[in-house]
Amino acid sequence: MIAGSLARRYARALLDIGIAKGVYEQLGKDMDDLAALYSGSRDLVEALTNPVFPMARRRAVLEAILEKAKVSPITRNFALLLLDRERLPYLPAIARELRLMVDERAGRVRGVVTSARPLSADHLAGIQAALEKASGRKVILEKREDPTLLGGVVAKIGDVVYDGSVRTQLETMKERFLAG
Amino acid sequence: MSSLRRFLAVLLTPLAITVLFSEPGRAQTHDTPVEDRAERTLEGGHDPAHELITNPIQNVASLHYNKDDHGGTWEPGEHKMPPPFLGQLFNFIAFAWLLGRFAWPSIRRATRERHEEIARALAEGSRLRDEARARLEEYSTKLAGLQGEIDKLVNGIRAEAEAEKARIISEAQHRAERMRLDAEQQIQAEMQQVRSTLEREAVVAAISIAERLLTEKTTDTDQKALADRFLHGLQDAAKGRRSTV
Repeated sequence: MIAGSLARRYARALLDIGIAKGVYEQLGKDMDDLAALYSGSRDLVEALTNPVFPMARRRAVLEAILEKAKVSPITRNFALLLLDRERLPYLPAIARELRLMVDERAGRVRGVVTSARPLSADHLAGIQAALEKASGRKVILEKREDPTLLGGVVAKIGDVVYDGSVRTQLETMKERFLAG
Repeated sequence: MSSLRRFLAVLLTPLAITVLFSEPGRAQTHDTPVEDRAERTLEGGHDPAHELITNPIQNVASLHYNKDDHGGTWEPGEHKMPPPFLGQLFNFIAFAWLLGRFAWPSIRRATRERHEEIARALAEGSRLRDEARARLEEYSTKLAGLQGEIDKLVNGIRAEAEAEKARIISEAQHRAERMRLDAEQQIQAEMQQVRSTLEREAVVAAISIAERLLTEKTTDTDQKALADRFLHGLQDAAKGRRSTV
């Protein structure tokens, strides 16, 4: 809860800067790339967060990474600020919160559609359209496959879940039988 | 009265003794053969023994003791003068006085003590008898009451035993009834549990079989149909209608 609150505060501050500069979409993208880079390398996490390494050395490493990632100066300064304040472990959470805030600001919503087998493009487009109609916002869908669903589709937008999987139907049937 | 009686006894006792024992003349007379005395009687004479017998006190105060009637030397066949009666009486009185003076108090005391002892014994016996009788009556009364008390106790004990027996039987019946109900409830609970377990196992097995069949038998066509159905449901939901999704 404290981590979530802290991440929201940092994300809100960064969003405000982005809005003021008119680059919040770019900030969101930079933070997503930076979070993916940070979370994808365990050695990088160790090098940037382990107090055994001197701060100057860690700062040099982070600057080198930021240079190669070609992020905006705002993102660069924000990352160095997190390093100085020993908040880099919260980078993925801050990026996630910022993405939500940016999507909210842009009138978008992210969703996940999961199916037992790959869905056709028509089905995906239909589902996206139906979800955009249901939510009233633009939906950015993420596709996933889960054979344990046995069949059917599960779509999730925010806190709303549309579950049409065979697995869930079987579980419902099982609970109904057991309930007598 | 007592003194008079004692005085008469002192006087009359020697007389009586004298009458009884003063027959020495007759003893002497008996020395004469019977034929001689009969002959004298037939000759008109009298029997000297008969004369002596008629006067028992033959010597009142004469000093012709162991002599003949006339104070001469006694010859065989003559009457022998007995000792004087007054002497004997004196002796007797002296004896009686000595007896009364020295022996009588002891005798009287011993007699009185004996009398008192007997009286005490009698009184004690009477007291003991009365006491024994009272105790007998008391025991009889107690025994009669005791029998009643025993009967009452026995009846009470019997009644308590009957009540205890009834209580034990009732308690045992209640306990047995409770045990029966508990056993029935336990059996029902166990049967319910077994039934639930079997149902659960059957459902789990059925679901497992269904999952396996669905995994094995579901085709792309089925998946397409399921996706279509999901899409229609989602579209209905987007339109605000009731959805089956």
